[in-house]
Amino acid sequence: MAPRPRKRASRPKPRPGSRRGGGGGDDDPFFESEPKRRRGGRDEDIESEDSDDDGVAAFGGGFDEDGDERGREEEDEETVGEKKMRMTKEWLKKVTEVAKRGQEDDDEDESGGRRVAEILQRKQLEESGRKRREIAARVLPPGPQDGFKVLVKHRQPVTAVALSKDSDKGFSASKDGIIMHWDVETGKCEKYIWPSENVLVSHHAKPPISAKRSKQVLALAASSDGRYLASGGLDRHIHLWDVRSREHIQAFSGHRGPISCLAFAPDSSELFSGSFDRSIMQWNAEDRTYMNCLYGHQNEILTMDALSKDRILTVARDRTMHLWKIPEESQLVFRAPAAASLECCCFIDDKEFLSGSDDGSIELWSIMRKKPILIIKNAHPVLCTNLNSVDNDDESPKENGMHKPENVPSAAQSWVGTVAARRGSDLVASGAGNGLVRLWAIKPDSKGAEPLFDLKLDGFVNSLAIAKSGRFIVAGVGQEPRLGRWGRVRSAQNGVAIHPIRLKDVKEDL
Amino acid sequence: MESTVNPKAYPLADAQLTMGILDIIQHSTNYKQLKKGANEATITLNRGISEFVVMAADTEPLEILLHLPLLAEDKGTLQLAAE
Repeated sequence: MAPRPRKRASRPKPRPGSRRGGGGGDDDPFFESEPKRRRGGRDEDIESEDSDDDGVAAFGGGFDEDGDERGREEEDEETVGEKKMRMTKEWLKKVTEVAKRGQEDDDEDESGGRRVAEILQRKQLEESGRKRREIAARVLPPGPQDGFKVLVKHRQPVTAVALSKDSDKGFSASKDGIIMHWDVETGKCEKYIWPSENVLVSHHAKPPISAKRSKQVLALAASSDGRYLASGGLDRHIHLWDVRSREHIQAFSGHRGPISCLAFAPDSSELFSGSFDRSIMQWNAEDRTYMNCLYGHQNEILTMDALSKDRILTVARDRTMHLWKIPEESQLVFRAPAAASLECCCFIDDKEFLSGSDDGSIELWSIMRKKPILIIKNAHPVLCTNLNSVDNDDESPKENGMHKPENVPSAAQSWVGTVAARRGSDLVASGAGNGLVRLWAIKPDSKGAEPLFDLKLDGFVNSLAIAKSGRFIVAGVGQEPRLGRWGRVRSAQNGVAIHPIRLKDVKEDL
Repeated sequence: MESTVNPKAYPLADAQLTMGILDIIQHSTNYKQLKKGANEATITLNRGISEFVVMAADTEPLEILLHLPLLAEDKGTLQLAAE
């Protein structure tokens, strides 16, 4: 039975004053003057739009009305063309040098040209996702000097980490609402300041249900162009932040439960949010508007991942994983293999994805099959030494029909809390609370996975992110799990830890 | 656990069927169609709007549920005992 259709009108567009992301002082006079002179406000809107269009014209678009405008447009267009030509020539020169270094013996132009073509073709295939980049075979074992180093310290357990597209900046959020913006190289971090309640209300946030607004953040997502950061948490709002100025832009309301996961579509400004109210909403960060709502899950949505072709992957507590195809408005339902509940998921490429369960197993799925290709059971066993630092009661109630607790690791430390993949490659990582982050290699042609290395890290790994270059992995660690307090590791440091991944040198690597 | 089940609760659902029952209970909860408790179950059975009755086998005393199978048989409703 389908749920009763709910009428949900699209939210009105915010005024350009809030689009600039100014502080409270700047916005108040604008909104105060709005009800008095409505027409005056519209004139100001038109002027702002004109100025925006002028900005767009500077990049080659724009008007053809007068000669000066046309002359300037021609100059800009030519400049853009020249810039593209110069960048392409530099790129070809770089590729040619790499090809020559790869083939030092014979310098024939014909073989060099073919090699350049091969490199460019393989590069294009990898970027479009049709071919998987082989990184796992090049991973060297971690040396004694390597190890997780705490990059950013948080006071409360970290619930989410996110990397920007080029992996030079990172974001982390914790249970007390602190959102950090940190540099990967230097570790320099800055804090996002939450605005006051009046500013939040002026940014279209609804009043909190309880007396005080909860600032606990459960999800973070960074946009591909590096402009926006989206955060969601227990206050049922999605907060949009400007990355450059680290200021609050707008709040999206509409979910009737806490926001549990967020994902930006790659190379797009569309934002997807999953919530405990079992619905997935689609937003547009550029236009600051609500777009769509997806139904289908029967319990709280836990994690979400987005990939190209407008597809998103969600797992919920009803033991199902849904693959949503946004343009076709259809979905594929994958059911968990055993009595386990799926906890996390991530895309590997367009055809394969990975999920982690609360019984400690990791499943590798393909889009062509309804059952997992491979189930890695007990991927994160609890070591005996870790039991000393566990405060919670290890006795768990026996599940119905499963009277063998020894075979099912029921401690909270063995739950696979997060899985992460370097997109388009065969390198995958998983984290739990047993003190290890495990790296896995996905075999080609849907033949399974095999373990690579174990990286030691105390605490509950609540979030993982692998850099696009594949050279480091970032983990958000907490003494407690992300969504509850059913376990505590006191020896852990709440914060973001980074571990380098050393790769063999390949001359063709660009 | 097996020895503590009341022998009057028969037949019992196995593990796989229990999972399906829990899924049905969850779906009906989301759609606000679930009635909880023996009293509400009796009322819905008398009205004839009940489609599926789930009984817990570890009820103590079990006799407070044993009128439900008779009512369900009269109304033609599915009945099932879950551990």
